[in-house]
Amino acid sequence: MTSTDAGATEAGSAEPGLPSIEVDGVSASYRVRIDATDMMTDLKRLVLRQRDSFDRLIPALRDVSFHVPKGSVLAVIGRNGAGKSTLCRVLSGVLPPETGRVTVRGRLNMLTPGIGFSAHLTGRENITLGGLASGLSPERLADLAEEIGEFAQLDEYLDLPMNAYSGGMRMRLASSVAVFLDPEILLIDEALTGGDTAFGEHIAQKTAQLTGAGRTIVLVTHGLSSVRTMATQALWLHQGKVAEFGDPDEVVSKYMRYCRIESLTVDDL
Amino acid sequence: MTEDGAYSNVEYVFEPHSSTLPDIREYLAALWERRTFMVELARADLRSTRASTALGSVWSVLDPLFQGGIYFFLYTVIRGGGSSGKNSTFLPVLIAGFFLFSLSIGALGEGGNSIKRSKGLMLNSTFPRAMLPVTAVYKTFLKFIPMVGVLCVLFPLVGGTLGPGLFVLPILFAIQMVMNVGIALLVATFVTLVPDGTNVMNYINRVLFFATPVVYPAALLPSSAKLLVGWQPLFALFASYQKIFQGGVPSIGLIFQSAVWAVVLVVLGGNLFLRHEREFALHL
Repeated sequence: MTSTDAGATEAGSAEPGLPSIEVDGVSASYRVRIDATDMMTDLKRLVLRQRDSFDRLIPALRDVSFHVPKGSVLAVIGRNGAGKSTLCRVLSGVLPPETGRVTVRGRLNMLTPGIGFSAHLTGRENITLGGLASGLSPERLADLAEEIGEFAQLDEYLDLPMNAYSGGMRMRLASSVAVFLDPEILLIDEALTGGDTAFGEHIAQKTAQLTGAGRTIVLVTHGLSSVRTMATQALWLHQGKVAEFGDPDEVVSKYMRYCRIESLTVDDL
Repeated sequence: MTEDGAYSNVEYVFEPHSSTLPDIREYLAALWERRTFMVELARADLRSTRASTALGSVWSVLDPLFQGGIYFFLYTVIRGGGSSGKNSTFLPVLIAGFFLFSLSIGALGEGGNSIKRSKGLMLNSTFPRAMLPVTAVYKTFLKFIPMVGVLCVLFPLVGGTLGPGLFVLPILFAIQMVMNVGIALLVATFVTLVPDGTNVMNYINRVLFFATPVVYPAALLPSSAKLLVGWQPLFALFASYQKIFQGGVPSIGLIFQSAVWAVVLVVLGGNLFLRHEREFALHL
């Protein structure tokens, strides 16, 4: 067993048959700084030691529990502010849970918009940095950069600084890096909704290849049609709580009823 | 890639944060595994900071040259010392001391802000967080390399001479680098967790500049002033550097004091950083 995250604790060897992800009774919050509008309020806060008025903890997840078997695709849906991105951060160990426990079995890559790429560096340099952070060798990355650039349809842009890229190009590169860096568990936050439709299909094929190879995928999305076509399980989060969990068709139908939406042509909720 | 359907033996358990230390050996091994990444990140970061300038990497040589030029001007023109005057004997010591001091101040500034500056990376990736301040210290080292070249040319030109103390220089430099890692870890924790940390660090920077023997000779400091500033971590180290750049050899006591401070800072900074690093995401 290895554990590379400082906050992770050792839990013995991963046994085959155990779920890739186990989330048990997890709650998580964000600390939000409340800025004062004038100096008097600042002084009053300091003198009266009103610590609560400086920071506020915003609950983002409340008692969330679910298991994701190996090789499955879990789609996480819900309205903006439902806690979907927070769930991704808790699963990846970026944000510690306040209560409960998360167990992740396998190497995990997280794909989120703006994954820490530097705009001053070229696409190739960013691929190298992303790959090195994931533990790939520089030699392997030299070959992989070409493959990723080709997959992301960047052509000559691969060797240009990323500040010359359009939003769609950045998203294509981020998506391609995440799916190419040999993940065992892949967390995708809104990625498939970025870029054009053709690329969305392109990456959906690559994702299907990963699931075909037994990889586990957690897909945070607003695209309900991709939930129905790709997911084997769906989780509907509402105000930080699990509203529904189970068969994607059933969960999506209930979610659509809740949102009073009658057609899948409206893909963004 | 592992075989189809087969997973590696990696398992993570994330539980509520407690200020307990992780397994240090495992943590250091994870840092070591990412050494290539840290080297590349520092180089890339350096390249990107110069990317928007017309002179680009030429600045890495120009910057120390200009800084040296400013002190040359102050000591030979404004103070009227002349290249062989009495006032100018301290000039080579000052320039060398200032270049080395910029390395520590760089670690304090770059290392201190390394967590806040990497918000995107911090909120989207899992890695040992100490990687960021350590990378920042390495970046300051990369920035320092051209300064060594400039110093080698400038030091004899302004009348500097070196004695047997030159052999102690690598030891002191190693002590300084260890100290810088400790400073970066300590300040990064402080700046990330304390909302007014960045403002406070601006003043600490200035206090350190005047409390460290860089712009004045340590030997000329009255004993009362020495009592006041002699305790701070950089004092003994820079007093030792001054001895060397004045052609002498620093005392064992000064070197020992510097080494003890380096160990104290790394242990203290590392301890605080590792106990709190999982909280960082909450404060970004």
